[in-house]
Amino acid sequence: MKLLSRVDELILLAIWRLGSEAYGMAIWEEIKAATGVKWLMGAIYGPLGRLHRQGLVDTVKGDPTPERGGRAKVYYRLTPVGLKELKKIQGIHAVMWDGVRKIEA
Amino acid sequence: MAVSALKPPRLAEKILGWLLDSSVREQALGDLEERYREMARTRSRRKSRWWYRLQILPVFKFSIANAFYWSGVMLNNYLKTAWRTQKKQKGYSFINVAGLALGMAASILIVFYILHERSFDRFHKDADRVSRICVDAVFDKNHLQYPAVAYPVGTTLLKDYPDVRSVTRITLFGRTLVQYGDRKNYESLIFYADNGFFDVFSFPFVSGDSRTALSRPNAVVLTERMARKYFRDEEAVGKMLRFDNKSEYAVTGVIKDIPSNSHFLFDMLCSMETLLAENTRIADDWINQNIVTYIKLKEGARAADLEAKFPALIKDRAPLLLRLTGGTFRYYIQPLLDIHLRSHQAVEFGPNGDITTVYILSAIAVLILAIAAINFVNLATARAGKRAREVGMRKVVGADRRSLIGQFLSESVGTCLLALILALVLVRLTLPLFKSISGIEVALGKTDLIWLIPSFLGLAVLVGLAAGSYPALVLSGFQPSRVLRGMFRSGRGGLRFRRILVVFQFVISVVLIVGTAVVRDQLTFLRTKNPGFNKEQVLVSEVGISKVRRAVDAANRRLKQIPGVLQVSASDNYPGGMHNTSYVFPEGGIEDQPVGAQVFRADAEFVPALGIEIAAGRNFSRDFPSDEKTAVLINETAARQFGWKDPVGKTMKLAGGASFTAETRTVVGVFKDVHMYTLRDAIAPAVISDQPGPRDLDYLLIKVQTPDMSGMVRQIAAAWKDLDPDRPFDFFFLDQSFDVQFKGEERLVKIFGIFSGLAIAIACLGLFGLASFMAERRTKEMGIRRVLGARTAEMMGLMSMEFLKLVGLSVIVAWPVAYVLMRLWLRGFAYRTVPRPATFLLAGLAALAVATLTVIHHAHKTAGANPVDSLKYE
Repeated sequence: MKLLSRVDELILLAIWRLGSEAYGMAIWEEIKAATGVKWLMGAIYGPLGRLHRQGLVDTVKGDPTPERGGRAKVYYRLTPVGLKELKKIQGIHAVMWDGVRKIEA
Repeated sequence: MAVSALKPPRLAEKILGWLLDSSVREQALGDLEERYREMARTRSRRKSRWWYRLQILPVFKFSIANAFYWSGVMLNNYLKTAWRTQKKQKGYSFINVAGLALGMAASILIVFYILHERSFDRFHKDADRVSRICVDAVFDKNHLQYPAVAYPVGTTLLKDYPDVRSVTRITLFGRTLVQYGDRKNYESLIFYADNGFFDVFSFPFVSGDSRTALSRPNAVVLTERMARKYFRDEEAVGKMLRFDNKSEYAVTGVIKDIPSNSHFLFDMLCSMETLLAENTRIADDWINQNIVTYIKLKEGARAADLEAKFPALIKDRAPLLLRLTGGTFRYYIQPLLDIHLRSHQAVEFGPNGDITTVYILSAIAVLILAIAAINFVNLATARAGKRAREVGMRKVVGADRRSLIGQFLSESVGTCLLALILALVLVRLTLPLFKSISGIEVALGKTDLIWLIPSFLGLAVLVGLAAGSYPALVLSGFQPSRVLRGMFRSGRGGLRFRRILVVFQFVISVVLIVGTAVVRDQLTFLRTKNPGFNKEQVLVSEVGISKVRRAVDAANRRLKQIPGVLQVSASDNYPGGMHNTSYVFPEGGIEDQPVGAQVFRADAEFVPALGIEIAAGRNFSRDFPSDEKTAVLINETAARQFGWKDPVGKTMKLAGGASFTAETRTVVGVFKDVHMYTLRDAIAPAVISDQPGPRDLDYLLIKVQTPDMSGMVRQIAAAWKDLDPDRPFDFFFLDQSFDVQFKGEERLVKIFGIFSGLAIAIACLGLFGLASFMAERRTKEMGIRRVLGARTAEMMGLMSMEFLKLVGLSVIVAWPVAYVLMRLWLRGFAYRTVPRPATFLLAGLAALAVATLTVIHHAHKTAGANPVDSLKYE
């Protein structure tokens, strides 16, 4: 499988950190707060849908609420595959960054 | 806070819902609304709404990317399938692509033709503000329209009418011997023009000053071609040209050659001041309407407003004209851009186009495309069975109908694009041929290509969609459960629809063939119709200011010494020459009420030279010296219209010259009706008045009788040298110049012929495809018939009949349609052929014959096949 893209990685990390509270808007806010990068909220659903189709996340449907126009929240969690991919990226980062430090030293 | 304020913008929400993938739609809309409400509490409503709307952007971006990704995957598959299908059925693909390519090529050529016709005079700056002043009047019963007015009209318009920005007047200079050093030639396209010419028209200057070029007498402006002809590489401006061995003209400007899409073609323009200096009378002559006058309006001025002021002008300046025409005399404004296609006046600068031809050809272009598109529809639906399994499979693995329609439509559009490429190659190859036939110059600029290429692409896509939509609907409608179990009967689907389309194709083809034949018949009719005079072996020489003009009798004697020269007639016109409608006052008519008539001035030899028959009375004769001043001949139509039972001896007044003094003459003879101008118009009253004075003599008509024309011309030229050593013999043949009028019809016959040929070729291509398919389908049937004892001929008949019946039906439908259409077309001719039954019969037989040849091959192959092979088939 191809390596995760930076956006996918950020989304997966955000879902992991949010735990049981990871739904669309929360994920977007988490990433926005952590990175400080401005991006439109609508931009998150494309990647979310894709990650779901790829089997990296799965979803749990919440209850509909009136402030959402009667629409249900959908909570995301990492699947074991998703977690594995995330860890793989982490490992790669560690190794690569480690190498850089050695060169610098 | 109102509840509505809490709802996100409705339209944006709809768009989002539409764009978002169904898997995330619900939650995303929920999230966005939740966020929106949060925002709306703390920030302004406007800001929140805009924030919400902004979310469309990333969603849209993603959905596009996504759509491309998936359509990319499927497109790959479609392309693969399409390619395999085409490869598997090479003949069928060939028919489709070739037919469409032929159809498109034909249409593109027609588009070029129409573009050219419509481009006339559009190259002038502000062409829409330029127009021509024309006369419209009824002289007696003759309604006349012609594009020339009195000389002072232009002067007055420029001086007294603030809407008019500039004016130019043009009049013919006449054929002239032009000389520079030892280079001398006769030139015909020389005109006088006002200095305003280059403000009204924008012909670009190569050298010289456009503002003053024609402002002084004896100035001449040349086209580049003429400048090269006389001055080669020398600078032309400042040089002198000698006209007719007597006057010197200073070249004041050289302009670029006149484009072929100009209604007014000329080689040289002399300043109008020259004419004014010679003939001061014209400046105040309100009676003679013979100066072509163009005006350019100021920006924002309306032609209709100007036109409304003309009646007052005529009443003020030329009341006589109103009296002569029973008050019908009026001026009107004809836009420059209408001249080429919509003006059919008696006098024009050149042969104009015809808007009807443009319409007919546009219709033909569309019909030919339709025939090609029908081939596609027919073959696709006939062969639908071949693809039924594919459709079934696709449906089983989850294709919805929409995507299948998309697949088939993109296939047909793809085919059309392929055909377009082929068509463009074809056009490129046949363009020179087309140019020589249609006589047009297809000069496409870069700017044309900028919109032509997209419109051709658009056309291809349009044809693809039109042709592909019905097959796509049929094909995508198959029930997978049925087709996959093999319950689909190949080739039956839409049989009736296909038959109707085939009939439609052949109706068009037959109508076009009949049309070609009738146009041809009409042309032959006109060509062979006796114009009433003998145009063979007559040489016409324009004498202009040649010495011959002053010595007609000497010329007559000298030329007649040549054996074979029968008559030499001096006249002011020749059959097929300029229209010369004047008016006469016949005896017994109402006082001061003129009758329009064609007036010729000619001597006693005019009638015998042209072989015109005298019906009553006698020709002019030298035996009656008074004839010169008092005699006149009229034609039978004139006698009828004047109401004269016994015309010989009656008198009439002829209106003559600018002075408008009438001379009274006596009728000495009546000549049989003759087509003096074109065979298109009805014969009008005509009058031949004896012996032109030197002022009116313009032509010598030399009737000869010789088997060796070139030898005769050499002898005449030698004799001419004695008469006028400075001006070589200059002549044309009467029959050739008279036949120029058929050029338009000749061209039409060729164009019609080509496109009707193409139409039937494309229709037969389709028939060939259908026949091959049907033959294939009936292989087994024919095998069984053969085994049961049927003969080859019977079987071939059986198979061909299926198609020939359709073509026969088409012929029967086409006949009345063609008849009605051609009667309409023929109405434009005063003398017309009656569409002959034989023409229709032949066209029908031709269509049947071609169709038979088309289908017989397959019928023969299948019927003649070894039944052992046939029965093993499938």
